[in-house]
Amino acid sequence: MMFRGWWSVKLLTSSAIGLLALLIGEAAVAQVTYERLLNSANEPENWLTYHGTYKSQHYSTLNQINRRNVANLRLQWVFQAESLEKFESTPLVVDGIMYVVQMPNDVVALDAATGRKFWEYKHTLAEKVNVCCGRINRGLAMLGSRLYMGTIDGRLIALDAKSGSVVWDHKIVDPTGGYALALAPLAVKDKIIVGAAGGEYGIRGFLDAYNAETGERVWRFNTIPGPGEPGNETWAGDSWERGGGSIWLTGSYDPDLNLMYWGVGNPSPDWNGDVRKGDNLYTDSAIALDPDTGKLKWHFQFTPHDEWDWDAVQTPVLADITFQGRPRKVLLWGNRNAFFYVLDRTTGEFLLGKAFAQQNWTAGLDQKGRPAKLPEASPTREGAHVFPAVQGATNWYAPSYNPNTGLYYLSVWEFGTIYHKGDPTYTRGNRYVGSLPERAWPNILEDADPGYGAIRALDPQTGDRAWEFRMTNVTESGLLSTAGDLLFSGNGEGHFFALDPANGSLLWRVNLGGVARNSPITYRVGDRQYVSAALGHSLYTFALPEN
Amino acid sequence: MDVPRTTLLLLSLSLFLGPASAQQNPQTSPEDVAAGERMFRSHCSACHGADGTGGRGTDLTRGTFRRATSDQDLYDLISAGIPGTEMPGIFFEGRQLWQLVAYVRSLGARPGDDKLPGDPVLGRQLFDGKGGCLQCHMVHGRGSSYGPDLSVIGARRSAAHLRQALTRPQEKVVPAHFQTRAVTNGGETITGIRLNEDTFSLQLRDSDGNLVSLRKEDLQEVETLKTSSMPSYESTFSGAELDHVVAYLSTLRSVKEIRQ
Repeated sequence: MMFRGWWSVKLLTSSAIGLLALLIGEAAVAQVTYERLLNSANEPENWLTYHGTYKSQHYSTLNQINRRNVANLRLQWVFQAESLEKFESTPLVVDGIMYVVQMPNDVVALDAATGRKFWEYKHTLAEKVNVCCGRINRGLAMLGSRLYMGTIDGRLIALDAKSGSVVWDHKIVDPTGGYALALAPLAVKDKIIVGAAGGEYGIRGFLDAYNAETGERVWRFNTIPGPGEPGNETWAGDSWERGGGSIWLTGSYDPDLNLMYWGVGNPSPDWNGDVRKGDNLYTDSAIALDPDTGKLKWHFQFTPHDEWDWDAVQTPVLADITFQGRPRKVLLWGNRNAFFYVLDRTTGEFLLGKAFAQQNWTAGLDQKGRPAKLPEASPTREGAHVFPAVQGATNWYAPSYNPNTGLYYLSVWEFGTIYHKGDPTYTRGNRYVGSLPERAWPNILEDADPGYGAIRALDPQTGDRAWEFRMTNVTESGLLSTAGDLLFSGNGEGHFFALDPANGSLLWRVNLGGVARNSPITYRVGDRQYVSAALGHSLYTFALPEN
Repeated sequence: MDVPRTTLLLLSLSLFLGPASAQQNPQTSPEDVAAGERMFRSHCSACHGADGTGGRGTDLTRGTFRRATSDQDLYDLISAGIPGTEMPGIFFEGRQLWQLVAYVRSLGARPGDDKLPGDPVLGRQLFDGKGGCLQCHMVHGRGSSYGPDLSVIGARRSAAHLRQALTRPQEKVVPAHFQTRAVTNGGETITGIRLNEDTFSLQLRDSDGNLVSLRKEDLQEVETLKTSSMPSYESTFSGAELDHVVAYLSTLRSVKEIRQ
């Protein structure tokens, strides 16, 4: 079967874009140009970036599958990973080809209509890697005719999308120092943007831009400012040197403002802030950067001097809405610290903040969004029972914004953790956390109070909850809403399902038997719409019957 | 090294740790164990639990390990991690890693159990006969599956814990032993041990040992009874008889009796 987009030459309508394409090479056969990425919302048959589009709304205009026929969905194919590690990667779909990462760092190209494999790239990891939370990868970027992947042994690799052949393979961080690349890169213009995980290992975090053609580094933004840089004064002594500030989830991009938005992870050590007194910028912050230079335009810190491991590593959702009577370019952010935020993404101005889950760590937010932390919520030797739990009231799994309903949807944990304070000792490459929390993860069968999981719909105008779909167990699944009046998600119980985004009622479900840990996507091949989600160790793809 | 899984399983079935083929742990003093505990709380407890009884990771308090028998095995496993699982390697070496091994070993230690006052042979007779324990519990394939299988309970629980469970079973009821009472829309009441639950359904083992799966849409009420169905044996057994039963239960450390 020949795919119509595979050999086609994309016409470049902008001279600037054309020049850019020439600069990155292979212009005559470039499959995913920067122009296509800019206009990815106009080709919903594809899923061109980790978040679908630069706005990261996890919303699709496809509507062949809709609330009236979703009950007829049928399984079309299953990709069974050869790895038993957590399937956290979200695929790309480009012109009928699906590219997905099999844990920890193997890339597979599949026929998106049948699931049949074209090729596989197998990455040989360094003998020893040190990652906090599993040997995982969240996905790929594509630009031109290349796929880009970060690896947990600190490499950034460019693959030829037709063959899986390695174009270049550069070591960008040292895994023996606690660094790892777990996120899907973001392609902007001629650059590939990545950050490093390692917030539990006392790294000094950063965001890097690499030349997509050569793999050479163009700029680095240190998420932990050094001496002489603004923000360094928020770190006591030399604590900035091992201050964490990881970046392990893909950011978003506004081409009109020429600003990228990224979430920064927790400070190190996680649960003992005594050795890093101060606000600890830019940990737990949203940062807005110029992709050309890496210069910081603004920042907003959600949790100053975090003592609970509440990374601001959530999807920065961009929306252009009328907010309280005025057109605004906003950033919607359901944070791990249990608050939902609306920020002006031009300036970083705090517009709204409201708790969307139980919390007892702050008396509230002031007019600038700064929390009034409660001293009794700080970790203690004996343990402080604090809501939300260490995994947060939500986490990295994608929320969704649906412009038709005007609602923001997110996965929620109602659960608390007992936070203990210990004595952190830094040794290079090892954990630097200051004790570990008790009740980090609920066990619904063995815990007396295991909490519960939910999908909640929030009104960005007020932060009020529009509805809740409550589940017995917590969830690690992302969300996808569509113009077919559907909201797809998986959960920790093995279910994949569709809700009505207007009211949260259950429209369809299937038990696939594994934990959902990626974000569902939708795409079209020919005239058929597909929906894919990973649960357990497999990727499942559904569509309506052909007739 | 690619060791077949069956080999690992057989190794882990040893009742006592076999002779180490490699280095014995040189760091086993109380100070070493304390240092190992501090490392455990920073590096391991998120998955293995603050007290080592497990969570996302394996219960380390059983005294035996599926993938390790010798101290050297444990050292190597903690150092390298377990590929294909969430268990990462650790960059500590030498003394610190041996201290961590010492603490992990201490989690499964059951000091004093070999000097119990009772007679395990008499204890088994009481367990099978007067106590009627097999009506609810299974030991090495004999008995009922309603209550917990006790085939290796001696490796998991101290003698003091076992005695308390026999005489004051309501004092510390773990949630896994809670009973669940479900009432159907038709008015039928079903009570049993909850084996599983999700948003849409509930799986029980009822008092007759039957496996029952219920759809929540068919239920008008679900209640968790935070009590144990285990009766107290304080008045059933004399003090000496309790000693015998505890001694018998403490010998239950392996399933080798039912393995070929």
